[in-house]
Amino acid sequence: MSLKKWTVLIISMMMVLGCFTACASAPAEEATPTEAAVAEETAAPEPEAAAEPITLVFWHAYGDGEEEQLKNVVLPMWNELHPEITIEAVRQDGGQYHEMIVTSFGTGQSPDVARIDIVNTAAYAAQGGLAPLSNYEDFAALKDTFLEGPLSTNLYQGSYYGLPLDTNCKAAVINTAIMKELGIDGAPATMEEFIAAVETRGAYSLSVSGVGDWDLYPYFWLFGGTLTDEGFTKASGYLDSAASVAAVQTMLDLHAKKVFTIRDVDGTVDAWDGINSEYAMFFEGPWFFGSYEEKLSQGILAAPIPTYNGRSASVVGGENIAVFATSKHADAAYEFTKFMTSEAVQLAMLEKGQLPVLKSLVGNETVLNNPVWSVYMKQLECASARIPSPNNEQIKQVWSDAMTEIFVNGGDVQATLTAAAQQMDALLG
Amino acid sequence: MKTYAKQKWKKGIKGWLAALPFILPGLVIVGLFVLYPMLFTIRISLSEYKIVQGQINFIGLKNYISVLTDSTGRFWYAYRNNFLYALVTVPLILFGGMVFAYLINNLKHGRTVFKVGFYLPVITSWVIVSLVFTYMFNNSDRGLMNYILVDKLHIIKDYVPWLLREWSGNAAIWLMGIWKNIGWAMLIFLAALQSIPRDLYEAASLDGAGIWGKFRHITIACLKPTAYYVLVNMIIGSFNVFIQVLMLTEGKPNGRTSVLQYLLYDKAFGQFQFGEASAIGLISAVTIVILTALLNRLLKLDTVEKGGADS
Amino acid sequence: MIRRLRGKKAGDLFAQAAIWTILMVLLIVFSVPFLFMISNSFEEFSFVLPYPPKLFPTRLDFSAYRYVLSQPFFPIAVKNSVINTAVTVVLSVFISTLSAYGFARIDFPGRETLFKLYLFTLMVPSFLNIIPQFILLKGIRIPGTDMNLIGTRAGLILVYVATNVCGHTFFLRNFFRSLPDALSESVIVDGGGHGTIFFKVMLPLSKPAIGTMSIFALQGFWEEYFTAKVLVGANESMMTLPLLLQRLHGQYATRWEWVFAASILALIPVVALFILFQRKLVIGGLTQGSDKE
Repeated sequence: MSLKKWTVLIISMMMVLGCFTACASAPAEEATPTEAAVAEETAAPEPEAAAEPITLVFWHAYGDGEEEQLKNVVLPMWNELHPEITIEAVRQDGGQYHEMIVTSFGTGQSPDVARIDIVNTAAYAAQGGLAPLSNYEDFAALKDTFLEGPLSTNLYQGSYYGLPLDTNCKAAVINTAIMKELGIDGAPATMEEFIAAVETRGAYSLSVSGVGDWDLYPYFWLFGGTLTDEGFTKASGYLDSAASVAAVQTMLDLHAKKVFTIRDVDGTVDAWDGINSEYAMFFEGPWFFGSYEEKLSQGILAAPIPTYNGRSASVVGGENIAVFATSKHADAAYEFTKFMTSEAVQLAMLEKGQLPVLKSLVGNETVLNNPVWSVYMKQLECASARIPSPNNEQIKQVWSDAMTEIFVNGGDVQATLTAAAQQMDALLG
Repeated sequence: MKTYAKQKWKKGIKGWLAALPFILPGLVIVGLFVLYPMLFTIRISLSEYKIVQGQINFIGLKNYISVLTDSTGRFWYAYRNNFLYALVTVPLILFGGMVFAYLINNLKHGRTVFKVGFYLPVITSWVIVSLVFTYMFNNSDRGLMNYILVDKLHIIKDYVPWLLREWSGNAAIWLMGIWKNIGWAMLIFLAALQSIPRDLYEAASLDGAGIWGKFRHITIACLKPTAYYVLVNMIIGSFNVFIQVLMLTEGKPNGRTSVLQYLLYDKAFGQFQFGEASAIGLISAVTIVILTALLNRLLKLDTVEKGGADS
Repeated sequence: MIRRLRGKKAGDLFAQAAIWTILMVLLIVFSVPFLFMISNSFEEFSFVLPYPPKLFPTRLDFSAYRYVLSQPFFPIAVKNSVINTAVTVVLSVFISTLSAYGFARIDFPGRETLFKLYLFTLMVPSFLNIIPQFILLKGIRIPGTDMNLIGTRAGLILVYVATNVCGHTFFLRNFFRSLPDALSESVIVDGGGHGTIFFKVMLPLSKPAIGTMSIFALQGFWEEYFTAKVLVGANESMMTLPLLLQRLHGQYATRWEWVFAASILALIPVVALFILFQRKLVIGGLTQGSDKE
């Protein structure tokens, strides 16, 4: 290239850059655009009463099947009801979804409405990222149509910051062939019966993947442990109580007797895999039964988690749908959350295994006649939520740190739980 | 006196005028997209940052204090692991890269095969490589390591959850770092080797120097500036370890395999602690500066370095 | 070579064989993860990992490749990745070359301080930059419209280029410094300025160094995920290969064959480029500066 051409290139590039800098200096001074957006939003009432066409951005991390159902069935229903409001559904990757939402808080580029994990709802609300929905007049009546457990995950400091969208919990996954070998017909009704049957087997019969909250809470609760008081304000006296220590001790004993294995501790085969050949049972969400006909034909079925001391236990999962504080069309977004939680949409998404959250659908025939969903809906009655706290991430860490200490490093149960309870107190306060 | 100062001024302005056409484009975009964000990070590290509202309240050194006094010890384990990573991988990459390059350079045929072969790990994405390593170190008999060591060779009795134990987890992270970076060092050394004048070797041969003698006195000596460049880059790299940890261990067990970048990421994007995250970032940056400066002194590299990184 | 003594020939041959053997063994050890990746891309995973783990292919089944290639976003992702990477590399290398020359060859007050600042930015973790970068891009209006640079190629490339200028300047400054002064002095004697020195003397001499750096830069952008995800993630028409790959992985954590097939496909262009250019790679500046080969 000749010198002249290079010069032209440089000059043109500098001009482009100059343009960038000129434009960029303005926003740099403005510095906090999100703040401005929030102020603007609260000052001016929503203009959409005039049916001006608007677009709502909706984030979700549905899988292929659910996304298809959303696009082909659910959104057309919405378009018929609200032709003036277009929904721009953006699918995010499941893996980094939480991080993407946190980033969007910083950049002020949050969606109007999103499907979020129930455990993160309080944290987003505490950051001021979500709009309180309980301020709407019809909310009081609306909230009574939802199942209590899923609804409660939206509560933060007296306000509701979302509506439950779908729910799930863990239930027992049973390999009937192995159960039969052990002398149990179908699913065991009690944990005592199961333990007695497998104690002498000499091979792990019950598998859990790790030491996290989602992994171990069901066992901890099943064997009589408690995390906090009813109001989730204090862990000392609960997490380190005699009952909780005994519960962890039971798990340790079962582990020592080779009844119960933790994959991440023992290096054993993953439960999804091992249930086909070596494990008699593990606890998992409904997604394990993606195509349940196939599982059932292999003799693998869903059953309620066997009781211990007469009661069953499980952990609640699922998603909420929430409106973001920075949304310029909060009313329309609220309308969309109501639509997504309406009976018609709940039933449409149920077809892809998203369990409904409405009281009116508990007795629905589609649910009751399904050999998998019916079990999960039943199990939900004795499933507990994880601690709803804006410090959910840290609380999770305290729990898994304590369990690692006990199961991997052989730490003293009482001492470890006492220390963990104190750390949790600080996070709950 | 006055005229002297004036002259100096004039000279300075002249220098800037001459330099501006060259450095301005870079300066503008670096200023906007790198320096300004960096200043922002420094400011956040001294503040409580409410991310949604964009509120920044100055709180002095509180973030630094709470990072350094964290009761779970996660910060110190992460800090330790970065140093260990540097200590283990940097010498191996440096030495390995040099040896690979030296061997390949002495080949008459087939250089390309080896060059490409050893460089492949470098061009493969970190995420993919991490996936492969997770699979290889999978904890049951489905993992390659366990399968070979337990089922095939019977060296160990039980399957090991490699990635969930403090030292095997760290070792996997190191192994991946070495495997991934050695080709990069090799390529740089190779290029440097090719620019060593041949007459130096021939003269040494005539003086009766053996292979080892030539390697020590000519090759190593000529490679010193290159080695410095590789060293600085690898040290910076050691404090930027991230994806391996995110994908292989997530810091398990209890942060014993964590590193600063992972901790930073988790604090910021997992727990909304942007202040503490920024503080971690700056502690990491200052550490690198001190480390490179110390090495510079220690190895007296500034004498061979013809002006490069004199920081 | 000619001066080599004839008696040495046998010894030479032996040395060559020894080096070959050593390198071959090392290469095999190094290839294990790749072998693993390729073998498993031919398998079919149904939610669980196969036993025994496969290091060598047991069958040749390209259905995973066909699946990836048939993804509706695949062609878009390839196109975007190619354009983004190419434009970014060209721009960032050009701007860095200019900067490096300025820092290496022109004396101006504050030069060392500014350069050290550049170096320091390399040491500060860049994750946290994403928020200010995003806010800046949001403030830059595309002339003639009321749209900003979020979700656009221009915005992404601007950030990519910026984040790499410092590192490249560091690399090339060393190179420019190592070139003998005599070269530029002759230009000055002839009445030429820095522009002439840069274009007539420095650029032709630094082709190999620039090429090497481009290769290094290329692969960094080719696999970049986080920035792309935040800046253009909401715009599916801007999908890049790493974004597609992450989506495949995120969703089908258990369908390893698709992820491996996709990664092998993504690797091919980079490998091809490297094979094409590897002969030309010389990093003279880090030694004494050389334009041999």
